[in-house]
Amino acid sequence: MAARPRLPVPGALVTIDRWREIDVVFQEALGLDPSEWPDFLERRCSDDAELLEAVRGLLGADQRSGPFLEGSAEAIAPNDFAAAVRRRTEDLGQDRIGERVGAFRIVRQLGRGGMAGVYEAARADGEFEQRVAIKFLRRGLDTEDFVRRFVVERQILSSLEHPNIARLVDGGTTSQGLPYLALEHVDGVPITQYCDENCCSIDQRLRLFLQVALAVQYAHNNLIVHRDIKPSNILVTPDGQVKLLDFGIAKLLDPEAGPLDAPMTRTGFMPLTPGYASPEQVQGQLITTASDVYQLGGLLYRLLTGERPYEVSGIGSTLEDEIMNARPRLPSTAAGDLEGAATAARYGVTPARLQRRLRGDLDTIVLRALRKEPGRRYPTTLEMADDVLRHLDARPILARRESQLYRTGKFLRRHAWVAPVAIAGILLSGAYVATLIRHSQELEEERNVARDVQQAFVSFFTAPDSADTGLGEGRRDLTILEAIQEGTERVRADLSDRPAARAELFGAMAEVLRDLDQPVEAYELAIEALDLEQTLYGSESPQVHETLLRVGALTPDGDSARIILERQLSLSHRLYGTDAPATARSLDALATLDLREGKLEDAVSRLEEAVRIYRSSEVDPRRLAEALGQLADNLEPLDRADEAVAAAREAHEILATTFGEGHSRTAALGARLAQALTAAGRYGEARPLYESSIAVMEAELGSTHATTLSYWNNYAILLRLMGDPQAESAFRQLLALLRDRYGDVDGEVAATLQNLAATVKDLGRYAEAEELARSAHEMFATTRGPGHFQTGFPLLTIAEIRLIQGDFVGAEATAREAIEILNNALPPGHFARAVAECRVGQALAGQGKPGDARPFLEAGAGALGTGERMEVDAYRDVCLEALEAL
Amino acid sequence: MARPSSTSQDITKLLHACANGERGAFDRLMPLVYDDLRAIAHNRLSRERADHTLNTTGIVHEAYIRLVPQAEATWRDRGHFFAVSSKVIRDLLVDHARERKAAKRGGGAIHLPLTDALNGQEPRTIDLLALDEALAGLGEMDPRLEQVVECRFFGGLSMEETAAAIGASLRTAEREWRRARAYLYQALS
Repeated sequence: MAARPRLPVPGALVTIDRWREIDVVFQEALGLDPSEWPDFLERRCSDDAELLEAVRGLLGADQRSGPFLEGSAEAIAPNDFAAAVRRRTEDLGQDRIGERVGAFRIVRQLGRGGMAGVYEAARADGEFEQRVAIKFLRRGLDTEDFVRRFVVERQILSSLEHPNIARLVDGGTTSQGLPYLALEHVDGVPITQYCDENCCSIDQRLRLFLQVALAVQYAHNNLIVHRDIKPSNILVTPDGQVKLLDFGIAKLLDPEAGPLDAPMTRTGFMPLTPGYASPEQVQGQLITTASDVYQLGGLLYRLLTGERPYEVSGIGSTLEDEIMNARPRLPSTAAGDLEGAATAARYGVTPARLQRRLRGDLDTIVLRALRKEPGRRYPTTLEMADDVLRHLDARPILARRESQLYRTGKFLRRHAWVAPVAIAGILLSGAYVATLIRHSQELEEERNVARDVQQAFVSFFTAPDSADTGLGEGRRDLTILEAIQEGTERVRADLSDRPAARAELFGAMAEVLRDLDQPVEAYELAIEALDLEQTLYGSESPQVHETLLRVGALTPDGDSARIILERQLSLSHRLYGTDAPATARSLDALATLDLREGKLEDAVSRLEEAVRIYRSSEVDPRRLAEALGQLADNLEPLDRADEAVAAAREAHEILATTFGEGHSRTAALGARLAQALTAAGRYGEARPLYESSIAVMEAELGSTHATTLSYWNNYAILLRLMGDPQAESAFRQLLALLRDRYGDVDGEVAATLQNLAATVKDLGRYAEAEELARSAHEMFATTRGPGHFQTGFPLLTIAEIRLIQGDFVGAEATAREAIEILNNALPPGHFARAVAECRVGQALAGQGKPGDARPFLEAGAGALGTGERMEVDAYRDVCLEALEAL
Repeated sequence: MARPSSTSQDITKLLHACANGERGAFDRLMPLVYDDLRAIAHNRLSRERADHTLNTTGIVHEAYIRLVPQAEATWRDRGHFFAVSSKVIRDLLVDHARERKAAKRGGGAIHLPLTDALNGQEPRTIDLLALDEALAGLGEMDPRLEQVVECRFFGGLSMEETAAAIGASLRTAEREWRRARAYLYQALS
């Protein structure tokens, strides 16, 4: 670098070397107290007046700088900052105007984003008049990844042909080799603007919304999720036609992805629009059609109230927190706060009338779509559209049939990777089924079968009068469960000559039914599928192997299930050998059954075998990690703490290698390992693991996220077990975080107060400890109820304090109070009851009543006698000592 | 036409490259983050609520959440991202100041009023372009000082976030900030 610094230092321009010299002395001085500076400078710069001058100048600046540059540029000059942003947004990319692209010439720029620019273009070859929107990858971004994604968008668009979706006109590569897309040019304005400018009524807004919903449903039927539904992507033409745009971040669903692969194999997180992002998008979870349902809910909210469901402030994790945790206000409530004149201008009614109009149905519809849990939203876009239509027709909406939809929701949660498609497919067109069959290579005549199945469903679910809305009148009053049941009958009748398709469908439907809590029906269908497959493929076939696993899991009777699964396991051995991942899956299923029956040892040995197989085969190491994690969970209650530690440690290492140390999955297993280490009494090793897991979770999820808080809690408890005085500050910090999140009066806050009380007691500050325990007791009584066992715990702490202080009468009274609560709330032999008995006994002994004390102490020590955990040992020892002293 | 979004996958890759010390990764991040940051700032400006002020640190955080997959990002990624974003915001402001100055034929560089609230003195102003220039000069001497000022002043980051962004301890970051402020104060007064 040239020695021509632009930074003026007193004494004219200096060279870099000279600057370094000055800087070293300046830094040394900064490490000292200003009162020492004169002496220091004299000593350090005695023979260099220029150096002295320069450093003195800098030190003077350090003292005088005051608030200089403190506070951000934007906070200091908000108007300039805003102007800068506006200015920089307007003047981009005029450079392509006039350029020829394929058969088109670019007329003007329409927009520009991170990845692509969008231009309006006109047909230039004179063939006919046509205007299109041309989308380019930006120069310099034509890397392999970007180009591939661009190709995906082209592919998605070319498969969509719908009046409410902007059409793909052409696509190719420019003369400079940049890929481009030519899209139908939509002469329209964003849907919100259209509604407000035309003063659309609520009914008109709802009808526009229906057009959007059906376009989205059409995309879903083609296994495409849009993922970025928001007003600026929905234009309305002057004649009121909706056009859905921008499939730039849309994705093709993969119906073959399994639950284990799903969240991990996704190809990159999509960008999102904060005001409209779904919780699963914010979290980086797998995106399904349910995410589009959520975004449609946000859109409807905006159309009905002009507001967003959340005001996203976007400060740090707050954005995620708001989307994850904040409950949206009811649309009718939001409407109540609108300003009168503006509302009249936009909706043609007063806020009060608007509010009445939204209350009830529309509130319910919007909030159902905006549920945090994907599975509790409308299962399909179609069902949401159906309810909107019901509302318009003044018929009862279905959203209120909570329990049915909730059960459906359970299914969706478990099968989030495929369920929405499955249901949409089964209800609508059999698209999912068709795909499923297309993918199962073993089936002959697969395409014919798929077509038959599809036709069967279409004929069943499409009624004659459905042409205008696309909603089959015939299924309006059907719940999903009823639809599947009727569909089953239909399959049985219409596909009587196609056993392969029937077996395939029954298998899929059995899964759906199981997750709708219809185990008996599910079991019967699975058995029917099994019979068909045994006839078709023979009892030693892979198909039967798969279905046996399903039947085994569905068989309600444990002994029968065991016979089936054992048979399935031996079939695994014959078909795939003893070392195949398929065999490991069979072992997993048996381990689950063992667990259900309390046979922990058996479960452990099967999981160990599964681990061995995964370890020796080439499968995804994450499967191995999962099996190891399960193994650790089962080993711990068996008191095989060191083995639990080893399993958890290996799982942790696998994830650390796969995802990196700073990944939340790794951190979660780190905390899991720390828990195992704590149970094994290896506190010193557990501690740093908790510390790093907490740091990761704070960064990833925020400091008041439930997971972060639970690690904090375990960490603080560990510190207390270690007798580390820092336990107190850890509990206090946790307390502040909990109050932040849950408010001052809360069960979790009470629990932490109780832990803090015990910690402060350990530190010998008895008055303070008693006060803390007292407030924990009262807060438990308020939040958990006066008879709850937790309400009794702080009393044990208070009784102990009284014992220490020699107040034996007070101790007895408090301990008896605790016994009364605990004996009603907990089973005999529970350690808390035993501890209370010990305390009463100790108190009686202290009062000089050994005869009264003995039965209490004996009962307490007896119940604590079976040494299970380290924490309990201490209680038992106290009790035994008191007994010996009698 | 809607705004196509840049892809966060590439951003994540580059962040990892930064974390691995790959040269040039930081610079290649700039254009990817630039448009999105600007778009976020623009969206915030166009929100209907009149009381909604822009908030640089909010913009940076929002961009981070939008662009970087939370499930894959590490603590260090976040620091690098914040550092890049702060640089972008500096560019944005300085470009604007430069244009304004040009439009007014040299007469109108933006002045940031700096109110000395503690001493009740008259508000002082500093010339943003002069600050930019002094900062660039300081960066030639010690790039980390430049980064600290970018993060603190332009990015509006907290001291802790700044420390993470430059990959230093909190104490080091605080010392660097004090040092940089002294140099700049002297350069500009």
